[in-house]
Amino acid sequence: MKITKKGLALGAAVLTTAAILGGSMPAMAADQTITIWMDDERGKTLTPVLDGNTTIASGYKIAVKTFSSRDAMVAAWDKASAAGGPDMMFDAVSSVTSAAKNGKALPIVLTATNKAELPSAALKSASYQGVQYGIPVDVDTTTMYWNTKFGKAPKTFKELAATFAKFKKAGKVTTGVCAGDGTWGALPVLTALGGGAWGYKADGITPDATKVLFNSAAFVKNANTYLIDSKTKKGNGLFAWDAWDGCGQSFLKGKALAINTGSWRLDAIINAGINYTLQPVPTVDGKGTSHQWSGFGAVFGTSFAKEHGVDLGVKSVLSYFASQKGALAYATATKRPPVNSKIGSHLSPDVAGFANAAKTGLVQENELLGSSAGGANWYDVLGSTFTAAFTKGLGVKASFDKGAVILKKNFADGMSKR
Amino acid sequence: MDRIKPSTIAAVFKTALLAVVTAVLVWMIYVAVLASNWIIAGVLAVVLLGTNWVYFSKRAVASKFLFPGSVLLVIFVIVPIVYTAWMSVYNYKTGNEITKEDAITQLHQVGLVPDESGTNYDQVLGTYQGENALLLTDQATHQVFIGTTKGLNELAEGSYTADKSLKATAADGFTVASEDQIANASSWLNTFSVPVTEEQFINPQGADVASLMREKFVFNSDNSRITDQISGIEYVDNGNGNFVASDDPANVLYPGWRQFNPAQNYVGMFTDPKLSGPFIKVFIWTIAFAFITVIMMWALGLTLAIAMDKKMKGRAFYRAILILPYAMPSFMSILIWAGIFNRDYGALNNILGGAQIDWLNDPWLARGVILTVNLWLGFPYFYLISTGALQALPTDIEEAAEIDGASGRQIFWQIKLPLVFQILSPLLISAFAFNFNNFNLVYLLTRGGPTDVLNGETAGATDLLITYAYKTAFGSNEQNLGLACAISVIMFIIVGALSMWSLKRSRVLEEM
Repeated sequence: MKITKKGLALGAAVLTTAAILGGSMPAMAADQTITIWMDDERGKTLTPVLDGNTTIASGYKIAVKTFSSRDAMVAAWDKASAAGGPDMMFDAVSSVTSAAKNGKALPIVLTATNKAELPSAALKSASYQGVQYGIPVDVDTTTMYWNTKFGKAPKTFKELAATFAKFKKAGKVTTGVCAGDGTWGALPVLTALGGGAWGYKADGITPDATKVLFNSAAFVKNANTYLIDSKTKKGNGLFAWDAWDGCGQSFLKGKALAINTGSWRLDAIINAGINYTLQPVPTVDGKGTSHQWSGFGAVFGTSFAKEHGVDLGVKSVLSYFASQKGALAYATATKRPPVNSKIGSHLSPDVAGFANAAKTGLVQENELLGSSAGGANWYDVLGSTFTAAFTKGLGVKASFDKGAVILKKNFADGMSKR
Repeated sequence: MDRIKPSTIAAVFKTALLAVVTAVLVWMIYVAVLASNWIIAGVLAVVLLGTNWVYFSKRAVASKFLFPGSVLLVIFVIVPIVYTAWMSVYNYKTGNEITKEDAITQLHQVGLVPDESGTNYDQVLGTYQGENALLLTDQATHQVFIGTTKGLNELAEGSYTADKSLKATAADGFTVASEDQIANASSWLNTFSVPVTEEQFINPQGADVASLMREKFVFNSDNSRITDQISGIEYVDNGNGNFVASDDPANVLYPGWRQFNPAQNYVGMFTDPKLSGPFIKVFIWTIAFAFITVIMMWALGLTLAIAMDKKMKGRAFYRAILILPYAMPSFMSILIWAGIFNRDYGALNNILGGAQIDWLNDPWLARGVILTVNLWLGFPYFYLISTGALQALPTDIEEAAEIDGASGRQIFWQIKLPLVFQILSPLLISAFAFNFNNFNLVYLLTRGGPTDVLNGETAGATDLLITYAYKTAFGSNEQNLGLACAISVIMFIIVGALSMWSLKRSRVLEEM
């Protein structure tokens, strides 16, 4: 048989192709592995605990996939399909509800034990249209770090304002209290001065969309008294909301009295050599307390788990994180304040401190805050209102009244979707 | 020893290269098939066959050069355009992302609800009388049952073994499953259900817990309706991707699905006041920005090119300095400029004696900042191409004009400028198209702002269509991808039409 040059080349090509492909094909058979996606922060602390674990869900092996950032994870999640998509995810509860709305979350049934372990408000935040999808595992909350080089933390807002005036006059500071996480972190200052977002119904936990506290008379009066420069009619610098990259950097340089932020800034503040104490932003007369948003982090199963045939294993893992044992393992690894209050005595002082701060938190109702039925959401309305009142000097009452009109529509719309 | 012929080396190299390409493509096809992405697998198969045919065939000489470019053009240009246009005719947004079939499946799962008292059972998997079965302990009453697909049988005390928490762990005739069996139990557990009453059944909720459930939603495929068996509400298909209560359209069930609705996004863009107002405003600014910025960059670039065209001391140094902004990554420059224009900490306000000018929060100042920064980023490019164009002009025309008595100004305005303009027309048009979609500049510098939220504005003063589309698609938890696709299609048509018109006007295509 005559072997042609072309035939030889084809044969060589086929052999080379086969050699390259040999051993490089992905496995066809699916194994009983539960893949959990998480961002870099959770990934570095939870991987040692979870990756390769075969005991949490009997008969299943857990594989952790860590992303370089939360943004990277969310971007991947937006495009995820059953092929390559996760079986479970750790993220903010807002991801749970949007996944549920999109049909990408696995509904779960809570046992009586689960329900007894976790606060109902936290559980509700990880549910959608009355169906439970996620297990809340941690609390994202803030508190006020006071730089002790300016003395002891003030007990009243009046005292805070006086301290700021003294050190500003001396050229020592440019900012009083910094909302270190932007408009999200501004709520303590609003509530300390008698304002806020919405009121609550008699049960104390159901938002009352008709009560908009944003432009309350008490707040307008107090803001005019403490936050406005009487000469320029603009902000006097006691309150700044330009977030971590703005006033946050001033705090690190010792140019701000205090910053309101969460445990996630702890390392940066310690590394900057700032000595601090933790407490809420003081109220005008020192009575009662200011409030901050408390968002929840959660773990949830995806609809892909069912397609991967591991949904029962996923439910077992979710049940584990709902239990005290799982909650403690999570809190110990991540150092995040836990939702499960029954494990408080086992926590380190730092974690316990933030867990304690969470008690004054108001549940971050994403349907209400994220709604833009009035034209813009809570965060953008606050930014524009603060700019109008404190930067442009258009008047506290006029600016906050305009913002309140938008927010009232948002809250009503959010309540209908809640 | 005979020397190896160059043609043999080339043949071996070609064969090896094709083998690698073939291997990669086969691998990709295999992965696509595993993921059931049949369209991608089919396209890859066509590319695989095409590649091998083109490069092994002696007839397809022209295709050897055109094939790779054509494939990349199709994959990275044509397909995204077609896909974007396709998605723009769907109601495709948060809550309406999956197919109708998937949405109904998901609603069915969501509609399996626990009974009102929340009855749960500790569960042990195993077999009973040769069938898959569950050994169940009621967590409240501690009654013990064996559940099969036929029903629930309560066990008498003494016929089972329980642990300290009173959970049954073994029973007469019940064989407990091994760990391996538990791991592979999904295949039957997923569909396993123990009937209790006509309405209630027990469903496993993991390997060790089961719950008493009932079916809330029942889908009737004949009339495409869902009935809530508990509340009695009838949900009907609203024709726009959701089931809604028949007597209250605001009562919407999620998830919904991607509904084909060709006119919705396009009509809404021009008729919905929430969308049309911002769209027209953003559209006008986008055109104005792209036009003004190109004119400014070209004017400065040409001026500098004319200045540098004269012989002078240190010309090489000046030329090097002028192209430095071009050498720096643009995102870094933009972020530095954003810092310079910061009201509180910016260098510019410091230089102005601590002025509190809010450069980025005043609409007209912000627009001025955008144009200024883009001028900084873009003039070196126009300086380079203008220099090239000036040097390409034939010198005899200028000499002839001088002999005819033309002044220097006349030579520039009436001879050089028109010639340079004709040479640079394609580049000016492409610069216009680029700046029409200059996402990075706007997003990094102002994020499209400032937005006068308090006075009802939803688009920022410096928003371009591309940033507006991005905000619409990804700017909040509620993403409207279909609308963003429709805006992108409009942008594509505008840029494409303007480019074609400009090219035709400048007669570049005819002379190419």
